[in-house]
Amino acid sequence: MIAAIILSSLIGGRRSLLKEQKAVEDFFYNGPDGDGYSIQSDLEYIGATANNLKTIALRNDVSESLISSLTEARQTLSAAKSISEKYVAASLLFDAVTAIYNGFDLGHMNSTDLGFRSSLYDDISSAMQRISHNGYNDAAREFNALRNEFPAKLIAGFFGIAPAQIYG
Amino acid sequence: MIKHRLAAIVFIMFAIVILPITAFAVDLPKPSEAFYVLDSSGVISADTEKYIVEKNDGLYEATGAQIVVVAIDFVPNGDLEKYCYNLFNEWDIGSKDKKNGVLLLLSIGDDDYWCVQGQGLEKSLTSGTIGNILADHLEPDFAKQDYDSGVRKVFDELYDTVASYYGYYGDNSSSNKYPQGENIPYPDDTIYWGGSRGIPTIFIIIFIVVIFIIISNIAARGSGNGCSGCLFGWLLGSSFNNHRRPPRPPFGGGGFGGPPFGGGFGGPRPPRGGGFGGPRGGSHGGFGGSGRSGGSFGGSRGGGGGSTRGGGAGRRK
Repeated sequence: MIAAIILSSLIGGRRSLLKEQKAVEDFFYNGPDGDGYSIQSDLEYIGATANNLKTIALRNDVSESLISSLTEARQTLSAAKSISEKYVAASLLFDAVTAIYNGFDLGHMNSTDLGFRSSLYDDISSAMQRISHNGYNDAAREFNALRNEFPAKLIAGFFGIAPAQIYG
Repeated sequence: MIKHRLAAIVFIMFAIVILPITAFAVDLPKPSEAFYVLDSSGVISADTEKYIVEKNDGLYEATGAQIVVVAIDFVPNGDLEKYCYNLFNEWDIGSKDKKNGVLLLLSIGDDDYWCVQGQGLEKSLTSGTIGNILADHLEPDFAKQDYDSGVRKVFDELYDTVASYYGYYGDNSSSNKYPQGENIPYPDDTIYWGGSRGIPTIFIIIFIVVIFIIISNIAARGSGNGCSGCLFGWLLGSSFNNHRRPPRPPFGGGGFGGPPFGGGFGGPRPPRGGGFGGPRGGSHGGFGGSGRSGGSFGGSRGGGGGSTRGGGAGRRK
């Protein structure tokens, strides 16, 4: 009888903890309201917009090494699996984008490309700023605090429920 | 004895309630009475202010969008984007449902500006587009310190961009996507009570305290009803929230603070196209419906509950 109670408590606790963990993951990938306005969507947007900036850079004779760095950074972001990896990759990509932005020879560009250069950089910077305001890290910390309390800590340890990764 | 005790309770509850409600975040200004323009630096003319407010009234009524212009001297710590983000969300710019607000901030002393859009406009009014609009329509005049002209031009461009996205061409335009007179789905389902966001919270609190003092006086005379405490608690709890529509007050309608609304604390919003006591009497001062033209922009207005995720664009250096 006691064993049954303990077992059902463990199972119930595991289910609750997993549900909380899933909610935090969803926050990162789908946004707090599940509406798609999330860090993940912003990262995808940054990657796509960086590619557009590369297009402008290619036809305006920006240094090949800068363009290669951008290409590589995009691929790294695309391949990043964990949240921590995504953070590192996004930071590197933004550095590469900024280097390209500063690498244009403005005197030889037409007005359309000048406009694209600026607006694309604004779009990417803006997405980075949105990510910085995102509440995901707060949600992750809250989950981790919950996970560290008794008896959640025991249950998490028993069933191998990992803490939420911080984006940063 | 009872009278003194009740008075003490009133004072304590008053202090507990009023202090947190009136405490805006540090460094963030409160919106002006007209809401759509706050000119702390004195760089925007009264004509331009009036123009912005009137254009916004029509735009908000038709689409829920709001374009707010703020001019201040300096931004704390010089971080304009963060300041805009906080201010936008503090003032709830744009409709709650569509999140279609825009905030343009001029920091005159910093010689800089920033513009951020609500979440619902991120794809239609991208930050890159904002940057281009600022560069083309604000920067030339801003650089010459002709701030008023710059604000007028950039506001027009932002307005045109947002309005055209919704197919709105002004109150009297026959090109409007939704001709006047038809029942137009509102951007959100909020029921507008008279003065729901327009009446400063302080007046509500004072009104409740006055009522409670009257009740406590009656109780002190031994009226024997014994319910003044619970009545006070009910009144206090029901008037507490600043971001949801307030309940209908128990003492009859009639607005207070600001100009009289069509229905005071009227009931659910009627279909659009009404005149007196029209559909937006809740969020705006004055009369709703299409009967706004020619009126002054007095009266209190407020944010529609919108929010932003931040970002936007600023002065290109």
